[in-house]
Amino acid sequence: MSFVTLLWIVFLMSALLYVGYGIVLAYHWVRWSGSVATATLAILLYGSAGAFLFSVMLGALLTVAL
Amino acid sequence: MSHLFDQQPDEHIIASVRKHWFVLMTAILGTVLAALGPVILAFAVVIALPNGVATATSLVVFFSALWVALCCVALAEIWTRYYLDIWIVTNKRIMYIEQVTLFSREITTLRIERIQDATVTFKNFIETMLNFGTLRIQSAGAVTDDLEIRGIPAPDHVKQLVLNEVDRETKERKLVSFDSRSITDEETGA
Repeated sequence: MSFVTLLWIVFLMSALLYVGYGIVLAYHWVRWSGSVATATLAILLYGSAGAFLFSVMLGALLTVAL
Repeated sequence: MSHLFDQQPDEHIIASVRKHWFVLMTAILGTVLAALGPVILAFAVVIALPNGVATATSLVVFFSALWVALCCVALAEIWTRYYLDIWIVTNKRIMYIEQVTLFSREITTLRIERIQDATVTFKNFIETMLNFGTLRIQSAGAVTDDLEIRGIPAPDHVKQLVLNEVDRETKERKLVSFDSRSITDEETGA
């Protein structure tokens, strides 16, 4: 297994973990916060932080791979 | 608030309190420092490297972003636990809803008529200056039935709200007791 393949596995596994954990957290925000605005804001913040960080990771990964 | 507990028709919420913002900030600050420390160190190493080591830079960026993403998850959980921990005072009872872990919630209820006393403790300089502390509600039962809430803002005010409700409830109970005694006396002709 090459180093780049290992990086791809790390990337995909961490993205899966981030999204999976996000779904669990979003369930809690929607179910227990009682405020649609708070839950939406929390989901948007968590999602945008994840989108930014994983796009940075993808960019770095493509630089290494290509 | 009714989504959090089974609110009775004649029950109304007097106060709902979350932990003080300082409690949240302390936890967040620790995680932010843990997130940024290694990242800054890694970039310092990259800057110190000679030019043309693009792969090393990309790897540092990759693992830094991964580390920050994991810290974001930790921050989200800290905030969730802060936001979902809530203390509700109603005219009938006091409830402490605690998000112990994800999918693990603990709801402690103490009925107003079982409350005997309340104690407020400020443990250090910061708690005194920022006006937050520990509120202990003593119940008529065993010591294990007492409610203790740490990091509550304006604990004196909350304590006063609780004791006001206890006084009101005690007066009502005395009034009901007096009424029933009057009725009994009338019935027996005393």
